[in-house]
Amino acid sequence: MQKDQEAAAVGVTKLVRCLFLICPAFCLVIYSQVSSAAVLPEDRTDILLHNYSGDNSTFKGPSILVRKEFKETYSAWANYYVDMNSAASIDVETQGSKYTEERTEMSAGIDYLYDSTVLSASFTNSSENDYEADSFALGLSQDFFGDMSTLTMSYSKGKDDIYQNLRLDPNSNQVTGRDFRGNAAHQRFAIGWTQVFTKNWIVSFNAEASVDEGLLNNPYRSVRFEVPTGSGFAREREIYPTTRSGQAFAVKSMYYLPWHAAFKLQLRAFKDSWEIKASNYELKYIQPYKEHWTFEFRYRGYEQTGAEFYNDLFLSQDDTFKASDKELSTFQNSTVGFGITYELDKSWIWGLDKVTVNLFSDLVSSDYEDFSNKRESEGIHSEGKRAGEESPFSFNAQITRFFISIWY
Amino acid sequence: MKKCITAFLIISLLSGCTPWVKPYERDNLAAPIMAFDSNPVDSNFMAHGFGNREAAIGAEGSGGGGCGCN
Repeated sequence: MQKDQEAAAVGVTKLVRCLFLICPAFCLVIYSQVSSAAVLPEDRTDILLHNYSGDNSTFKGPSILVRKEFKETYSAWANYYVDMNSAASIDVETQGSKYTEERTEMSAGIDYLYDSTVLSASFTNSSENDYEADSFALGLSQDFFGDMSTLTMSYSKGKDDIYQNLRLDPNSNQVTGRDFRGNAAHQRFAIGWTQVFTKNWIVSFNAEASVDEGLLNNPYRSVRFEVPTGSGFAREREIYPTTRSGQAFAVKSMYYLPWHAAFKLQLRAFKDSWEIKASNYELKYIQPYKEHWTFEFRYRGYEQTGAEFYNDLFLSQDDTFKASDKELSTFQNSTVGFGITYELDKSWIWGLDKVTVNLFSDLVSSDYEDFSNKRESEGIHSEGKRAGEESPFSFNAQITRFFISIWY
Repeated sequence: MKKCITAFLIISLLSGCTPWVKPYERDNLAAPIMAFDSNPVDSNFMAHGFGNREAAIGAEGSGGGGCGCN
């Protein structure tokens, strides 16, 4: 299978190179069709507080995004985002102990406008006490046919340093050091076409190829294999393939409704070299109300099949690829959410263009088909069941965001 | 889902054989409620969260780097 993985990765790399050669040539051929100018994103600042609560875990923190245009043709942005985690999820509870930690992500970028072309570059750093990630991205957006059509292309590359925290007492949150476990490298190439079809309808088609290499598994996670005594299982480290390539295709559609509302439909299909197939769809309805209010309602459905080397309980201990992460199992989830936006009256905002106060909340329900509720057989809430006898795992998560957006 | 996307593509292309939408006819398309991503700070956060808990990658916008997923 390793050879298959490598062949798949090489295939995607060739596809990326080919697209890089073809797309600029395509741009040159139809450049003469360009007749009007693109625009830079609006100047705005967003200050967001988020809270995720589900499966005995909470993630909370701020995210601040600032964007400002300068010299009429440049727009720079920066984002500071913090996740403060307190986790006792099913994985943590059955394979470790409750922990708290913080992840800080800082990113910055610049867009350059030249006639109908926007060139973009950005850099992102994410830092945890056991995970360091750096990535850069380059992008191009080109309007055609009187701004009826927009071609977008982007490429990003990232490198991760992965560590495992050491604790003297496994039940303590105090970290005494860390062991280096390995590196991972990620590449993404995306291409999209956005088309105005009617005066009320705009559609975007997107494709993305991904290549991941290196240490792709979580060093804290392990798999179970059957033993004839005791609780019926023992644990050993996961072994993932060191390459993974994937392809995703998506369609996004926005339709303007005659009573001043909008309807969004989004579809996506994904498959990868680990034999995972996934799809999701999202429906969103946006309704302004009177002068100041906007309400949003959305539903998202997602389903995936498991990786070919996934198993909830392996029959024996061996050296083949193996994983028991619920993220690689067969499952589905559904998300129901709403958003309320209030735009402050002009008399309150002292010369600013616009200020909105926003409250968004989503409920995500996840149901796993072949990932069992290991709390029934392990950990502090054990019901004494043997491995393999547990019921399928499921959980709900509430995700709430409060943010203020300021345009200037 | 792939069939749905293909069907949507064909329907879109067939429907797209319509007269040119002139700049002065694009008021509705320019309305803030018609933006694909009207709140990037929120959509980045949500994309990162879904990306950590689902195996699918890409074509919907980036969720940033790192893990935050133990």
